[in-house]
Amino acid sequence: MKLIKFTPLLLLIFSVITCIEDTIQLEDVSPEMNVTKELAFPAINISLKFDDIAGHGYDSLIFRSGDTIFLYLLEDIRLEDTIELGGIGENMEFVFLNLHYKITNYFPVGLDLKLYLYDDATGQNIDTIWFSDPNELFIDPAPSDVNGLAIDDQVVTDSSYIALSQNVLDNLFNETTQLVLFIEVPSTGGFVKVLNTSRLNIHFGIDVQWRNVSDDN
Amino acid sequence: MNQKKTSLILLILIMATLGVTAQSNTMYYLTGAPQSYRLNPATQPQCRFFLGLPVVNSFYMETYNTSFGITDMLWNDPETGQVIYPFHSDAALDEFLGMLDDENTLSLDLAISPISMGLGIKEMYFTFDITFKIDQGLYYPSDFFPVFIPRIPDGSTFDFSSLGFQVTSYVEYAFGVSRKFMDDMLQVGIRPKLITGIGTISSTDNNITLDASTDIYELNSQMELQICAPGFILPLDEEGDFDLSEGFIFDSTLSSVSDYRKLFMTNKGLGVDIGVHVKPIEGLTLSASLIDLGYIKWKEYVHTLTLEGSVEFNGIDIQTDSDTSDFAENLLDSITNSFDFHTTSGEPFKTSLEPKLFIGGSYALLPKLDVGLLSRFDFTKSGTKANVMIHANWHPSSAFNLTANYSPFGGRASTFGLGFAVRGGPISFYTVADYRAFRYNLYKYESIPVFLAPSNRHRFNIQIGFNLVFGCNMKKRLMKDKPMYFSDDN
Repeated sequence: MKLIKFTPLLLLIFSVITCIEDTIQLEDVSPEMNVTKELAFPAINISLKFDDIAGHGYDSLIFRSGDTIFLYLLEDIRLEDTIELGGIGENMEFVFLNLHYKITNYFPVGLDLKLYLYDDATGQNIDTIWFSDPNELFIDPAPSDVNGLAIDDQVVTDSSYIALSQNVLDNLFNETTQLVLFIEVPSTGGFVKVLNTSRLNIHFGIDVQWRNVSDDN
Repeated sequence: MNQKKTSLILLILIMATLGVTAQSNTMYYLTGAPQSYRLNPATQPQCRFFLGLPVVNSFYMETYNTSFGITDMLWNDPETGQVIYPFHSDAALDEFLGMLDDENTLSLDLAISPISMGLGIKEMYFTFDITFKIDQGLYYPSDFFPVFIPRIPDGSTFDFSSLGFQVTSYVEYAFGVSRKFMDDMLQVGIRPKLITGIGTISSTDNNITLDASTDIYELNSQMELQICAPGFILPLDEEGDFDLSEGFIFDSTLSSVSDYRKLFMTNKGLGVDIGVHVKPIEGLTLSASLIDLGYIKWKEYVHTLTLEGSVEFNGIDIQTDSDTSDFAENLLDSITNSFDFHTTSGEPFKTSLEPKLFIGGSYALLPKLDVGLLSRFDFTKSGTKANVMIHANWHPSSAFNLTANYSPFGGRASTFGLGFAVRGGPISFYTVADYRAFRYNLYKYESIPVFLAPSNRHRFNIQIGFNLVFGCNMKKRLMKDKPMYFSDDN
């Protein structure tokens, strides 16, 4: 009689026991978290005056209004700067990295840009990130009038992106200790006048996909 | 040790099968549980008198996540034998993200009854309950996870407008009366309620979006919070806006017992449950009930906060003549200063209960076995949710009652409910659970069972109750009515 009374309860417990599909040991949870991540973000904005690139060692005239004009460039101007890479990219495996840029150039002179990937250990540049094809300028000069002054109304913003190859990414994040920024303003064919109020506006954004790689992988 | 483990496993298994809820579907036909009238006030408990044991007469808990469950978060990888989760490289993250709805809810509701009692007098049955309830909900959009993984491709737009939360706590005083008519062919009941609000905080009007690209991040946010925290004052700054740094301040003007009593009764509300059972032919019972129709009006210590702000970030500005090393600090300051809390005080507001409609039919297939259908409609803030169940109720004696139901239309999420009520002498115990799954995963830590999670289910509820009951023997009662003669023919 007692057995009959407890039959439904026993059946209930039995049915639940038999319904266990899987047993999971919580101490076996894998620490790995290598899901692919993707992040697009605006990185930097730079607004440069001519002095910022060329320094102050150039002849200039001052208008009555106060604007300074630089009359011409007879020689190339070159600027180099280094950026420490720090630990960026450690334990990360990059699927792609696109460097987006948006550039508005109010100078009647062009500009070229390269990034050298430098390795302290070997003391050599191990790769170069080109922003334009060889023999072409990354940033074209602004249209100028017959007096050599930039025509601001005709200045257009150039935007595009550079997709870094897998090889460059490997070099950048595995071998490189410093980035060497190389900016060159090539000599102009004739007179151009650069107003001190003119600007070169550069915006960089990054679109990157990566996986974290743990040490035990 | 093995014995302990076995006991623990059994305890967990039993607990996992327990359950009833304050609004449990399974409870509807569990006539052996005195509190079954809470789902249909026309229902009369089997015993002529019951007194719920304080606090444990009816304990109810329900928790659910509308989109995924524990088994979707931790499982065995058959290839590696490791336990993995959606963010593991071997897991199908997109599959997990695909499980999310545009709007998702994570909820935890609790109800405890300090007092529950009932008395039957002839055709009438009177009940009285005091129930303390806490309803908590977190609402999150499907866009929530990608931002934190992160999965933010160029040109992404995220809409967090469904992000929100609510916590409401109140006490319900319910007086129920049920009456039988026409030789039990018709049974009607009503259960009016007086509600006193203890406190509430909820987000009511959100409009939060994030546009993300390589050009710019643009966060626009507007969120309105309605708060009623009796006894607490909101600290305001010189402009009359909420001062986040201060937190809530206890109202020091409250000192006497009468102050607190007044405070407790300040935010009142009304509610009602109504129900009916009809027996048009022998063996068939049709039932309907509408419960939790009501509201709470929050009048005192009421505040409305509006959080407004807009942040744009288009990259670190490199100035050739300035230092950018404190960029992170400046950015944080900029974001903080971009958001303002505006405070509006004193405007009363109402929060409504979430009504539920039950319509069911039950047929006595055998003398001690009823089967039928029960449909349930929940009228929630996010819309009406319907559920249909097939149920069976086995009542071999007045001392034992077992009920089960099955929801066949949930597809992957099909579930069954189980409940039983048992009586030994004057002590009655019942337990009910809806949303039982057909498959479970057992989670262990160092071989010790920790919890049991249903496969592919995102909902769990349980209700248990202990009551003292008297006057449950139907034959004895009938004999008392007719002392000279009793026949089953009657």
